[in-house]
This record gives sequence, C-alpha cells and structure tokens, in this order.
Amino acid sequence: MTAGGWVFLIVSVGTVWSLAAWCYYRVLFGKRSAEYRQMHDPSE
Amino acid sequence: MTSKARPTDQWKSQIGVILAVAGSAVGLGNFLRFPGQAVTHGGGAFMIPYFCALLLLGIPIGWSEWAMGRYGGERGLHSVPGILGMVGHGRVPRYFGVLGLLIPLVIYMYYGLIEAWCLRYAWAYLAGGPALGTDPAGWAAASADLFARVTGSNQDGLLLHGGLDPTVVCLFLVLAMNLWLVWRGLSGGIELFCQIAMPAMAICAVFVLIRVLTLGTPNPAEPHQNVLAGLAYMWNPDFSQLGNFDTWLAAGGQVFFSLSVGFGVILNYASYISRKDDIVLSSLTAASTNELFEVSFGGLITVTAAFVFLGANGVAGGTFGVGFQTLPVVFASMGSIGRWVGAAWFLTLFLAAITSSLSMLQPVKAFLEESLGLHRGVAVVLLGGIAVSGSIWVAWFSKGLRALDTMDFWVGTVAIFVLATVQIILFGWVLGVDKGLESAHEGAEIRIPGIFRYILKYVAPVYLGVVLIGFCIQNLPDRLATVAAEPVARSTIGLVGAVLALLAVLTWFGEKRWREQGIDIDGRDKQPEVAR
Repeated sequence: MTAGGWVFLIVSVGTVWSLAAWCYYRVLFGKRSAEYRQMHDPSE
Repeated sequence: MTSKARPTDQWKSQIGVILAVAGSAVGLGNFLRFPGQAVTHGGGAFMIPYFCALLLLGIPIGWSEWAMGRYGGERGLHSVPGILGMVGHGRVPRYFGVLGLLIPLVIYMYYGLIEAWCLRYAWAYLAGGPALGTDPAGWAAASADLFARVTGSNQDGLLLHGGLDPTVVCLFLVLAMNLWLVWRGLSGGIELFCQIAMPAMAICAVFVLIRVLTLGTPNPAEPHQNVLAGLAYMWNPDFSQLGNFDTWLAAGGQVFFSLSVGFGVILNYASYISRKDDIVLSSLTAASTNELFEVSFGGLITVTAAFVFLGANGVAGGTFGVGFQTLPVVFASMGSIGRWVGAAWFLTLFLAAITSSLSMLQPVKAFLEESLGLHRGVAVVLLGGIAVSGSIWVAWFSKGLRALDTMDFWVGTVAIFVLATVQIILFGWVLGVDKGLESAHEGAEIRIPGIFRYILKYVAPVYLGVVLIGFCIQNLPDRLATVAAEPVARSTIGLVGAVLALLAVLTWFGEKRWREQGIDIDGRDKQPEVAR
C-alpha cells in the first residue's frame, strides 16, 4: 500500500465518519432538538 | 380553498425518518457496485470526483427533494404526480411525476427478486453453508453453479417450472413481508423496521469488516495476497484516470444512484414532515449515513476479501459476480468461521435490500390511496398484485437475467436520470431556488450555505445534464440494438409501457378527485391550509 493509498483511505473514511458523527450529534443534541424536547417534556 | 385531504400517516421521530431515507438509499450498490467502480476508475483517486459529485449533485438534489416533498405534503398531496404538479404549476410536471411511481414500482419488480436471492443465500449459510464441495479447486465452479440455480439464469422459466423452487418461496416471503410492513404504515411499519434493521445491518457489516481486516496472509503459498495488498488494490490512487471523462461520469452516476435521488421516494417520505420540523439536517444525515456504509464498509470489505483469497481475478465479475459468486468462495476459504461470516454478509445484503424495497412500495401505496380514495388495505392488495405480477415476469425470463437487466437500464437508470433532471429544473427554475430554499429552511436545524443557491440553480442541472448525455452516448446505442434484437427485452419494455399507461390513467382519475376535493393541485395559492 502506497502512502497515497493510505492518505485516500484515511481521508475518505475519516470524512464520511466525521460528517455522519457531526450530523447525528446535531440531530440528537442540537439546539432545536433541545428546544423541541423541552416543549414536549415538562420535566425538563 | 379548503382541502378535504387528511394526513393519513405521520413519522414518529426525526431519527426515524432519517433512518428510513438512509435505509432506502443503502442498498446492494453500496457494497457491490461502489468498490467495482472505484477499482476501475483510479482507486483512491476516484474519491476526488466522487466527493465533488456528492457536494455538487447528491446533497443539493437531496435537499431539493426533501423541500419539494414537504411543500406538497403541507398542501395536502403526498404522491409524486400530485407534488410535482403543485410545484410545477400544471399538468405537464404532474404527468412527468408518473415516473416517480413507475420507477419505484418497476424497480421493486426485480429488486424483490434480488432480495429473495439474498434471503436464500443468508438462509443457506445460517443452515450450515452452501455445499461447494471439498476440493478448493472446484469451489469457483460450484459457486457459479449455485448462483445459476438460485437465479435460474441458465434457462427461462427454470424457477417456476414444476416444484416449489426455494427462490420463489423466498420471493413470496419477501413480498409478504414488504406488503405487511407497508400496510402497517409509516411509523408502525417502515420507521419501526428501519430503526431495527439499520443498526442490525451495521452490526453485521462491522462483523464482516473485522474478519476481513484480520485475515492477514491466509495462503502462505501466495504471500502477495494479503490484506494490505487487497486494500492497496482498492485504494492506491491512479491519478491518470482523473483526466478521463469516464471517471467523472462514473463518479456522478455512482453518487446519484447510491443516494436514491430521482426515485420519487424522498418526495413521498418528506411529504409527511411538518413545517416545524427540520429537513435540511435530516437530508444531510441520511446522505452521510449512506456514505458511511458505502465508503467505509463497501470500500473496505468486498475488494479486500476477494483479493486476499483470489487475487486480482477475484475482483472482476461485476456487481452480482463479486457479491454472489466470488465471495462464497472466499467464505469457503475461511474455514469454519466462513459460514458465519457468509451469513452476516448475506444478512447485510438482505437488510440493505429490504429497507430499500420498502421505500419502493410506499410511494405507490400512498398514490393509490390518494388518487382513488382507496383504504390502505385495498391499496396494499392492489399494489401487491401489480408488484408480484412483475416479479413473476422477471423470475420467468431469468435466462441471462435479461428481463431484470432491461428493467434496470430503462427504468432503474434512464428514467431516474429523466425524473431527477425534471425535478431539479422545477426546483431551481419553476418553484424558484429562493422560494425553495426558504421553504427548506422552515424549522431547519442548520442553514444551507449560500453557495448552494448557485449550485442548485446552475451547477447541479448542468452536471446532471452532462452525466445524462455522457451516459446515453456511452450506453444507448448498444441498448437500442439489444431491444431490437431480443424479444424478451422488447416484451419487457412493453410491460413497462403498460404499467406506465396504467399509472397515467390513475393519475388522470386522481386529478379529477383532487379537484373535486378543492385541492389546489396546480399550486396557485400562496399559503398552505392543511392543518397539521
């Protein structure tokens, strides 16, 4: 495996994992999600 | 205007709709087609045009579909003809929208059969593994023979001729399962199933990935066939391919098909989302989930496993060849654990297939309910009758998989390009990109960067047009010659035409019904009045 191969593998896999992690973080813990939960959950 | 249309279905949660859309997008192409495309078009270097296409084509078109779907749903229509007629202000876009019913329905006809193959293979591995014999030299031939038996590809009618072929049993099982889940509705059927199936698919894929990455050098007699060499075969960049137009075309096509845009599915799914809920982040999350499966599982498992045991020859063979013929040889070479790795692999494919096939039935079911006023159960029975008739057609003309191949090209490829082009033009130029983005931003968790205004209006339509024209130049002449020469291809086109005509007639009935209900089907009113 060449250095270029490693770079493309790590950058590509890292990019899709980072994007997915950021998206799911925003979906689960984002500002709107928090407000929405607060509106619908009186205990918060 | 008072709409009598009632929202009959709803998503239960944002994560549910994201997983449902991601489940629709993640399919066999993620695991089988993507690595083949990458290897052929420059290995790691393929990722440069791939990510460009994702940014300029896949993600923006996805946003436009989510926005248009919700726009139509807010105004009381959930079917693709209804939504496109409303967005495009008239009858022509509405009848182009019939493609948004034809595409998922016809694709289901052959996809359901492929799903049945996956189930049959998965069951065979769970039950002890298919018998490929004791001589490793004979495994490749035995695997090819098994594939021919499962698919009936040696002769027309083989699957349906006398006796109850296991593939046909699996075909009816998956059809029943699909119809049952669609009948249960969005939240109780599709959403619930995808919330279980997507994590299960990820677990199976991770199990297979770990085993593949820890294979080392399984055959000491072939030291160059090891995991690192397999990864190198997939990922070492060949930059010379970037100067080749085919590479950019292939990347555009792979991203486009992988994300399930231009299918009609997202329009329908998004029509059940209310104005207060986010669609921008949801669309991006669904796309990123698809990419995660494609790049990190599809990009690491298939080629690496095939190369480690069979060398470069094992990687050749096309989508079905690698997935259904080469990999069983690889699993046999793994020894006793190969049975479980094979089961996990084919369960992954089965779950990928069923989460996609569910999404193909839902838009047509919604259309039958909406255009004819049918109850859900009646709509599902009618839909099942049409779908199973088509699947039996594909199963009967199984020799060389010609019916499947014909439908896949003309409907699963060309029609999708056409519908996506119509959609992006409607969004950017008829609805208006500013109004479309404003609509998308209602309830949004994140904002679409301003640059996408220009990408959606100019870059994406041009990119899509170039990919479509390039694709047609490359493929149409051969395909037209095939249709002219092969009776099966011609009659399959006739079947597709008949289904298209049926759906167009039903749309005409729908138009009448929607007008009688007072729905603004040409989208002339400014504000939606459908209460949520």
